[in-house]
Amino acid sequence: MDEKKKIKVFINANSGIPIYLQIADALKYSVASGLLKEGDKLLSVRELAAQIPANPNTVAKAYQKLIKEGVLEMRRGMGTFVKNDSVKESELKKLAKLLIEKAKSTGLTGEEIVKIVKEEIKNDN
Amino acid sequence: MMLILKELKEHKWTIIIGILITVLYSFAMVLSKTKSIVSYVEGTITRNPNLTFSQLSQIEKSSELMIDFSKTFFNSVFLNSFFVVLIISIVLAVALVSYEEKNNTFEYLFTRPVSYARILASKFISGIVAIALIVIAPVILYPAEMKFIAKTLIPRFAVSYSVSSGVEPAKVMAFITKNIKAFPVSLSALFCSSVPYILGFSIIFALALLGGILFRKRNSFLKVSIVIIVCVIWSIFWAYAFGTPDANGKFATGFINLPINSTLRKFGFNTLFLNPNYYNLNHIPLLPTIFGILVLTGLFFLSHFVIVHRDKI
Amino acid sequence: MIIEFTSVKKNFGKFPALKGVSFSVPEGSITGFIGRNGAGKTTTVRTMMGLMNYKGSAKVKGREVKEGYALLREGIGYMPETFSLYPYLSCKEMIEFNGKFFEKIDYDKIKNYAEIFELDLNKRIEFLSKGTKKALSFIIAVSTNPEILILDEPLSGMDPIARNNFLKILSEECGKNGTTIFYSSHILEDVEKIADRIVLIHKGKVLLEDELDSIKENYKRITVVFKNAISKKDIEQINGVKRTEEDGNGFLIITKHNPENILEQLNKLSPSSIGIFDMNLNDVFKEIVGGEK
Repeated sequence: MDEKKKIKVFINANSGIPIYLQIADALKYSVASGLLKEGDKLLSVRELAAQIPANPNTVAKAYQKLIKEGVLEMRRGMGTFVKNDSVKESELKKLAKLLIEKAKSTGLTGEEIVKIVKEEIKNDN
Repeated sequence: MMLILKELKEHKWTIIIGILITVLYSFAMVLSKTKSIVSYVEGTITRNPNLTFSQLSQIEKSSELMIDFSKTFFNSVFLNSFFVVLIISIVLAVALVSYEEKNNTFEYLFTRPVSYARILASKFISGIVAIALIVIAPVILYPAEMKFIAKTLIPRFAVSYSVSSGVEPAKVMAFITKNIKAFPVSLSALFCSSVPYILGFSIIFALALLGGILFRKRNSFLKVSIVIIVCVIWSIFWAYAFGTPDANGKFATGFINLPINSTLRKFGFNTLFLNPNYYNLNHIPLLPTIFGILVLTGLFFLSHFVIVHRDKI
Repeated sequence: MIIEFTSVKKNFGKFPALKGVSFSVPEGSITGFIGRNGAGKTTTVRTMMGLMNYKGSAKVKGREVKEGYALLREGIGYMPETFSLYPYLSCKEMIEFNGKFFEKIDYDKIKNYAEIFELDLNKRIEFLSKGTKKALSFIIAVSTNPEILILDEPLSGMDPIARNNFLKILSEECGKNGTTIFYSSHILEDVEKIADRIVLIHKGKVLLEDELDSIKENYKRITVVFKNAISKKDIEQINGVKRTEEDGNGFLIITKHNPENILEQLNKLSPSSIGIFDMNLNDVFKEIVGGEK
């Protein structure tokens, strides 16, 4: 029997972001950062719901979303497992999308955004 | 049912105080009444020291000498402690409702998977049981009272009479005890008499309970005081206006003398189970008992109707 | 639907406490019943438990509550807002007494929860503090493993640790046993944590009934500045816009559904900048209730 990997998920119930999305994102981050690897077994819906604490239906929704996206898979009678841990790219794509959205809302163009990002990377190094 | 036990446990102090009052009351009343009969006889004999046995029996034939303990007991317990039991029935009914109100436990009871009828029935039955206990307690202790009187007062009389008459105290004792109509016959009569009395006061209890249910929201202390004052005033008015019966069932007239008096008295006292002719029988009077049970059942259904058709809290 | 209210009306004398309340609760869900103080939450909950006479239809497990069918309450665990306990009993005695009304009590659960809430079962109820009395009321409600848990302001008076424990337990009850949970609260932060559905009541009427996730997805704030002159009317016409107001040189738009579509429509009007922001339950509540006078 595989050991369940006990990761802690923290959500902010009072944000405007639906909790199931927060849970899904938190799990994706865990996979992207290596807290969870391909083939690791996750806590059951019930167990994770009790840890956060959150509504089990909400946790189930998060798991469903990640299963749909191919990050997790459910093995009949055995539990939920990490299927594909190459989420780094897709996570980065999401971050980029957010950046672009926010930047556009202030009226910046695409070229201006790229210029600023390049500068910031230089400063960081 | 455990609900009934719960009610009895919750209000056990009211019941205990009620029992204490009726028992002590009956004890005191019988004691004083008997004492006065005995001192009358002593007085007569002291004034006539040359009485023979036959003359003594003639004195005994006069009504005051009939040391009929059960009638004495009946008078003291059932007629004189009327007010005590009345007040206790009403207080108990109001307490059954206000205690739950105070702790908001009606919100608890009415949200359990039991019918409202069962909750109401537990209050009804516990009230009737409590009243029965309060009424029967002195009756149960009647033999003890009689023993006490027999042991203390009568021997004293026997001795003083024997001194003045020259008859042996033992013979006097035997004669007296032969003529005293005491238990066990009267004991059964007293138990039978208790039944209409219990029923009568259960009806008053049920009425007060209905009142408590109807006027739940009003302040309970005020409620109790108002109800007691109204009942006391009404009883006093009734007594003085229409007259009260004496131990033999004869009515002394009050200050209101209308042709309707006798009808009212008959109706009122019969239905209120205060007809002395119902008492001292060796059987339970059938008609008033059935009538009482019907009235109680009617009050139960009325109370249930009120509960169902009003908000429960 | 395990609970179904249809146009339920309730007057206290002349005062209309419930003016036509309609909502439904699906089996196995956790529904947060929110509203301001005096909005009608407790009246609704009491009506659900058969304590109030009402007009309209209120059904629990398919049976009309008005009928007064006693066994309907067999599968319901109720925790009232004001304590409903016998002060002279100990916690243990009260739980036992309660158990006699039902078929079975779950002693393991009672022991477990009593430990979590640090409740001394031998203590007499009159000596308990407010928070422990709340814990006891909850344990009594849940001790018979009911199908439905109806809780009226369960978290008021609980300290933060107890609250967290309580929410954990609620999520477990739902997850493990599939218990339907309906709880009212005027503290939205507590509701947001575990409710999957929201029913919002205000002045005796239900103004919002939806899944919490849907609410958070539908209600968004959009700030937009236009290059050209655009009138408020043009924006208000867009399907899904709840309200628009002038915000400096631009507009603040509150969406009530389909914010993506609204964004699309707005983009067609050539904005110089456009931003979309989330609204939490507090924000949505203020938006819906604030407008009502």
